This record gives sequence, C-alpha cells and structure tokens, in this order.
Amino acid sequence: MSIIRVNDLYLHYGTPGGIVPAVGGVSFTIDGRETLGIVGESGAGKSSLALALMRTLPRNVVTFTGTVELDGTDCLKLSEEEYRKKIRWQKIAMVFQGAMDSLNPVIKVGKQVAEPLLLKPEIKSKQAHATTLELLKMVMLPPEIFHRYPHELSGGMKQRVMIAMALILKPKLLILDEPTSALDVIIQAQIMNLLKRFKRDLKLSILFITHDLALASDLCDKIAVMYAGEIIEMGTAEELLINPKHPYSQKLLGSIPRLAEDARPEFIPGAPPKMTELPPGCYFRLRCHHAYNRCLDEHPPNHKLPSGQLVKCWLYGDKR
Amino acid sequence: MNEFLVLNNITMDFQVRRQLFGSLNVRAVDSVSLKLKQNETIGIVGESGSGKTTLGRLALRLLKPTGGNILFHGQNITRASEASLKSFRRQAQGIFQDPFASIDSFMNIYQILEEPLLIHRIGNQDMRRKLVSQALEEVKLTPVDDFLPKYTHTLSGGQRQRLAIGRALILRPDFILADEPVSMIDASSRAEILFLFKELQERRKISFIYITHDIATAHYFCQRIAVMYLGRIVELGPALTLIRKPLHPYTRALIAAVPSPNPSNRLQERLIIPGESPSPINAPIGCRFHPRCPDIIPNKCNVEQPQTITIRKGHLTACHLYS
Repeated sequence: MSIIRVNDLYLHYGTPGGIVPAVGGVSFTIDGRETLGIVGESGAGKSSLALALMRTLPRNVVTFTGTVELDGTDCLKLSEEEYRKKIRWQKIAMVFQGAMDSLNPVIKVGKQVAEPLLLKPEIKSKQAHATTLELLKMVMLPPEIFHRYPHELSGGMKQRVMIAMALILKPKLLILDEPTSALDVIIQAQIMNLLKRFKRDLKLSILFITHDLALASDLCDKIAVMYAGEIIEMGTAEELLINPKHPYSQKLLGSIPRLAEDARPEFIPGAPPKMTELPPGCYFRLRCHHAYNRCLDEHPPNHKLPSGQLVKCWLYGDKR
Repeated sequence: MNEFLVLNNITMDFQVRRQLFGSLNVRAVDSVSLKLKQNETIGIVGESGSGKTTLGRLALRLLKPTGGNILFHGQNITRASEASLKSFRRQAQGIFQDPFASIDSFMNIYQILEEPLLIHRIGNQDMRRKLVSQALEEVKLTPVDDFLPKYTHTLSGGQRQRLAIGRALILRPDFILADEPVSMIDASSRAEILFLFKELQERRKISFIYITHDIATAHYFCQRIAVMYLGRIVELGPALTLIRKPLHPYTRALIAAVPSPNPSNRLQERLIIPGESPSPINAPIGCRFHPRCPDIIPNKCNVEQPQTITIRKGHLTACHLYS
C-alpha cells in the first residue's frame, strides 16, 4: 500500500533571470515502511521537491501543478488552512537542511519539542511532557536535555532534537533533507543507525534527500536520481547501486571515493545546465559520453526497463 | 635535507574567558611533531575539535605557537616578524573550506588573481596579465578571456574553489595548505579538485598538507596520513598501510564510519563507537580517547597518557594496546 503517490509534479519559480523549472514533472510513490532516496547535485531540485510536499514554498512560485495523494486525498487541492490542520506535521513532517541552527535559542529544548502537542486542547501538559521524554529517549538523548537550551547542545544532539520534533505528532511520512551534512562522520553514522531503527520500529515511510549516493545506501529501499529538476533514473537500491543504467547515475556512483578498493574516483566534467536556459534535448547531453544526435533535439521520455527500473535516456527503449 | 617543513613539538593554547574574572587555558594542539618532505602530501584527518585546523594555521604561521618550533627550509620561523616572513608568505599558500567566503565578491576574477602579484610587486601589467591567464588555464577555468571579467557570483562551488587554487598558485609556492577544500563541493566535482591537486603536485613539485574529516579522500590524495584526536596525533603512517592495517581504535572507528555504496548497508546497523568527541576544555585524563574506546584497558587507559611508539617502519601510534 502506498502512503504517498506523487504524480507529474511541476514547480516553477519566477526569477529576474527567467523561469526556473526547479521540479519538472516528477512522479513517484512511497509504500508503507519504505524509504525512497532522492540523490542529486546541488540545484537538481531535491529540496524544492521536499518543500512542495510540505507546501512551504517561497512566494515567487509561478507554476505548481500535479497531484500529491496521501491516503486518497489530494494534498494540493486542500486549502492552506485544511492542509495546515490535517496534513503538515501530522501526516508529513520534515527535518529541514541545516535546521538545527534554527532552534529558538531562548526556549528550552523540551518545550520546543513538545510545542505541537501543547497546542492541542485535548492533550494535557503532563501527557505532553511524558510523550516528549519518551521521544527524547528514542533519539538516544538523556532526559536532562529537556531542560537545556540549544546552545548547550552539540551539533549531533541538536540534529537528534530536530528528528524528535518531526516525529512528535507521529507522522506517516518523514522527509529528511540532508540530515547529516553538517556532522562529523562518526556522528553521521550514529544518526543513520538511529534512522534505521525508526524505520524498523515505527514503521515509518521516509523520503531521504542527499547528494551522497553512498549515504543513501545506508537507508533507502528505492533510489531516484535527480538531474535538472527531473528524475532521470529510479529503481531499487540494488538496481541503482549495482547496475545503474543512466550515464549520469553511473558517473555519480564512480565519483565516490572508496576505502576498500584502489579505484580512483572519477568526476563528472562540466556543470549542470543553467536552469533558466535549459537546452533542448536531453539536459545531461553536454556532460555525457554516450550522447548522439537524437539526444541533441529530442527530450528523452521515461523508459521502463524489464527489470522495473525507470530511466530517462535515449540509450534505452526503441533506438533510432 | 629534504624535510622542508618541520613542526617540532608544537603546542597551542588559547585563552577562553569563563567568568567575569579569570580565564581558562584550552590546549587545541598538544605536543604535535610532523615533518613534511619535499613533494609530499600529508593528510590530517579528524573530527571537529580535533585541532586539525589549528595545526594547519600554525603550519602557515597564521598563529604563533605557545610551545615548540616551526622550521621552514631549515629556518626557524616560530616567532619571526611579519616583515621577515614576506618570502615565506609567498612560498606558503592556503586554500580554505568555503570558496563563497574566501573570495571577495566585489572583485572580478582578474582582480582576484592579480592581487597577490601586486602585493608582492611582481612584473609589469603585461606580465601580470600573462601570469593570470596562465593560472586560469592551469586550474581549467577556460576559455580564459570569458572568465577574466566575470564576478564570482556566476561561478559554481567547484569553479570558485578552482579559482581559489589559481590564486594560491599564482605566486608559485612550494607549500600549499588545503583545509577541507572539497567538503563544500558537490560529490560529483570533488574528484576533479583532487585530480587537479595531484597533477599540480607532480608537475610543480608542491608539498601539501591536506586537512579533512573524510579519510576516504585522504586515502586517495595523500602519501601519509596523520589522525588527530583532541589535539594529539594518535596515529601516523603511510596512507595505504594506515587504511588497510589501522592500529589505533579511533582510526578504525573513522574507517568504519565511511559509507560505501552497498545496497545491503540498509539492512544492518553499522558498528560505531558511542558518544561524541568532548570539548578540549575538559579533555579526559589518560588517553583522551578512552571514554569512547571499545578496547579500553581498565586502570591504564584512564590513568596514563600513552606514548607514541613506532610499530613498523614509518607507522606510529599512541595507544596502550601496543605498549
């Protein structure tokens, strides 16, 4: 059973430099207890996609279409009021990138975590306190943290607090946007272990956003690779990490420095295209070694491979 | 002598104000010795708070150490004045983590690259223009004429970092300190920057100190790796040996924490040491790593500071497991 079904999502920003199609026709589903990883370089549209699901978008949005179905209701059709009351934080919650620095410095941590509960008239403050303590324990923080201020915590502890905050209303879908990018490697591995435990014990569905394919392998059952606002390949972790099909996914995998092997990491020459001036044809063709004349003027559609992988590339499907 | 940068028993204390009156000494770097050879790259690996950045700033003499001394080409520069450091400032260059902060956004690329030449009074205008073009070519910001008048807001993170490298190269240094040069860059362009370093090192015979929290990139770029924990070097050795046969439990923990893109990772929890590195203000006594160490020897590690011992040729560690 899918928890969330996103279909043909478009999100365009209007900027002085022109229209930026940050998300260009993205579709995916996430099943119960499943984690989907969204991997891509900066500017690929990963965070915009997450903001669109949370409906916390900046003001310069000019196009926002598609459907986001959650338990059978289309979240984009709800009024802002309904969305806020029924969906945001209750059903979809998010840990924003770099959010650990946006904890309120003058309010004790416990109160900040408990706040969404305290706003509910049916929940007594004693009960809220107990729930919060339980949650702090789950993210492996000692109960004293409840009475601490954010400046007394380390980066890793603050990130645990952010995760606790996102989970307080027991959402079905948790969106994590680069949750470990500012942390040391050992702390990063600790947080990943914690998330693995949540995935198993709380039966959470997770949308995990990262630029690091290796880190995605630590949590994700399915992986979607984004490039210039589109999902260019999507498949199971096994398919994506062992046998990637799109030339971009292959290069992304090759760029990871490995400890176990001597293989030199590769890099992808050039930079992603300017989003205000997307070229005709395939957006990746200027950096692709396999590009041929068809890639130049025809934008590739999604090909579904026999294995189930989706790939947006003219090397597959009917060749001409 | 081909050891051209020697850090000899370096200690760096900072004063931290605690209360209204009185201050506290914090030892960020504690008795560190390191010899960098000509044309060598040493990686300094550690978590935040390990003192790696402070050590780097000492190696560039941006800080004066509170103990020990620094020799560059045999010359003692520990307490040298800024005026007498002018030739050192030309030979030793730094590249820093954040290419958005380390480059003046009100100057165009030509001005950014010309500035060091002006400061050191090198060449006339034609000569400087030629050197600037050469530097851009060297860091592959081409076509050069397109880039020269550009301002940096039009560049990507990777391009900015290459510009920072170009600025460091323009004075033809023989020592470059690179402090987390790829950690703010997309994974897909990291290898490109590291390739560039490697190529420059081979062609220009530059020695590097490469500071990073990511032991995986150090493994690729460095000949030797020093692992730091709370101000001390806990292990030093040839890069490959240190990765394949790590001695110190902390090095092993760092290696275990690096994710590799394996789809079975998600099915099991990673074995990882607990806790976080404490602040140097209240560093544990004995071995500083003992509260997190999986192999702690009771009544020894928490009492006595381990001495640095050589285990095999060029491979040293400070750990009681080996004494």
